[in-house]
Amino acid sequence: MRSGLQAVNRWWWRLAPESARIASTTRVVSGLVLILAMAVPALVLGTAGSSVVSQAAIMGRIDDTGATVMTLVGTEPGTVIPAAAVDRIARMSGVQWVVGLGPVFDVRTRGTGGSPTPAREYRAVRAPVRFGAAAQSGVGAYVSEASAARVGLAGAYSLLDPGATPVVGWFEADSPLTDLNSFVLIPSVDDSLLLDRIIVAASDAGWVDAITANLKAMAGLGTSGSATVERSQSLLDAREAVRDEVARRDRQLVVVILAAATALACIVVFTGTVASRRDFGRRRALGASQRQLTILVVLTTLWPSLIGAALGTAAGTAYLASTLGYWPDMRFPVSVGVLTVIALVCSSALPAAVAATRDPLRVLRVP
Amino acid sequence: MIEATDLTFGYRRGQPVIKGWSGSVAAGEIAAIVGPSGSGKSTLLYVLGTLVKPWSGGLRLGGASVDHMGDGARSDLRSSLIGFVFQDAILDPRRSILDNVVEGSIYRGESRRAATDRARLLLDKLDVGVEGKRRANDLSGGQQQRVALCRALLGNPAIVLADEPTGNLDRANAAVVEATLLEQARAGSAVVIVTHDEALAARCDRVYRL
Repeated sequence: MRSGLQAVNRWWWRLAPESARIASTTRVVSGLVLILAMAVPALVLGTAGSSVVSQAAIMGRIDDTGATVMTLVGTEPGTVIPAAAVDRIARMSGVQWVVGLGPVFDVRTRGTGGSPTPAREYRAVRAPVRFGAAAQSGVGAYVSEASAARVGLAGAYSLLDPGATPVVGWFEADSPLTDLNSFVLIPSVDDSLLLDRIIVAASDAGWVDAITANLKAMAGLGTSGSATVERSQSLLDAREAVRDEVARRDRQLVVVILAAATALACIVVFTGTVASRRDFGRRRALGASQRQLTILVVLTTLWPSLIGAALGTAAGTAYLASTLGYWPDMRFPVSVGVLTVIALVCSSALPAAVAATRDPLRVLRVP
Repeated sequence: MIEATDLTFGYRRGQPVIKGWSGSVAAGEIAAIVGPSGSGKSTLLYVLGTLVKPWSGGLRLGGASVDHMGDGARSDLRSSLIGFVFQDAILDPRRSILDNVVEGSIYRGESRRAATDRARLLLDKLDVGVEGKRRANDLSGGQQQRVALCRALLGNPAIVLADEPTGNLDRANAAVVEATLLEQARAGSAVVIVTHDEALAARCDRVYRL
């Protein structure tokens, strides 16, 4: 016989198995919480995936117009840049490609008298310019479709003057170097070649500042004022604005989805506690404290939230990976899943507290 | 074991249901509370069971004053000293019989295994006659009340508070419940029964009329 007040072990984890049993028997409430917990990460990750893809497309379009392109150009007559600078710059972190161009001079096709066409000596690493060799390959000039028409080629064995340079192939420059298509290019591997400008593309806009700061030094021009680095600040600003706007909208969306899920979970749990008034009254009579009941409701919400968030995160991550074409950094999906569990568990705190403090007499008394 | 002095309580301000009730029930004693419907019998029982605080008056259970106890201490007291039996069993119909019987042990922080072993013995003793794994909603009314009795007696409480425990039962089941409560009193518990049954009240050691 228990004859006096005894110490009661009220560690919350002793309620964990009971809360799991309650969660498994209150299937409607648990099921709805589980669906909500699945939906949040799935929606967030699905939306984030589409957003990342859209953002990448917009960024790509901006970058195509030259946002990540810098040009090192002489500002004083006679400023020359050694061709070896192209190779040095290409080895810098964050550099996607480099093109070095010599001074412009006009060429004509020997014998046919075509129009004078601008030509430049050319040295590049990883540049978006495709070259194709003609029947007679080797060192010589390459023409684009436009420059070929202008220079008036006379068959496959044309020579360009001055210098009797043979035309040995064709080229096609892609964005943002399409301006090169109006030139005849004469590639050179000779380190004695002197350039008057170097065009550099960064692999990401985040590298532009660092590359800009080091470009003159890498070109062997030190900090002299004989050359300057030109870049498109307005495009960089536009790029940043787009990224900030997309990130802001993503954050807003996450907040809206979480808030909606939290509100719905709160309603579901509250409805569940109202439907279980007699259970709460019985538990109070059996010795459950208000604190124990609150913890019990919160833990009962935790289990379906955990399972749902895990399933939703897995599905959302798989969708994100399929959209992006690669597995995302797992910190993002895991954070979304954890945030979902925290939000749903917190949403149950208020209904839990209300249920725990409800007067048990009204449901226990037989009218 | 139960000592109440001038207890007053009501649900609405200025309209007390219990007015200055005093009484006591010693260990090993069984007391009946009788009275017409609406007289506050059940309410008094739940005040004695610390489920609500009286507006005024004093209450001592097991030698300890509960007047200034907070919710945690009162809950500790309920789980360690008191067993409740309600008119309708108030079992969780979705849970197994054993789950229902051992539920109070969770709030006492007892080992589930030990509680389950004792629950099986009690279910056998009260001749519930079904496996403990079956759901509570598979039981008849009489069986449910026996299960509720097992739940109340599982912790071998010093105080048993029964709210019309035989009100919904046939004669045979009512007899089992009454006999068990009397036996619990003879074993040393203070038992309080709210009842309309004058015959049952007559068999009690003490009768309080409201």
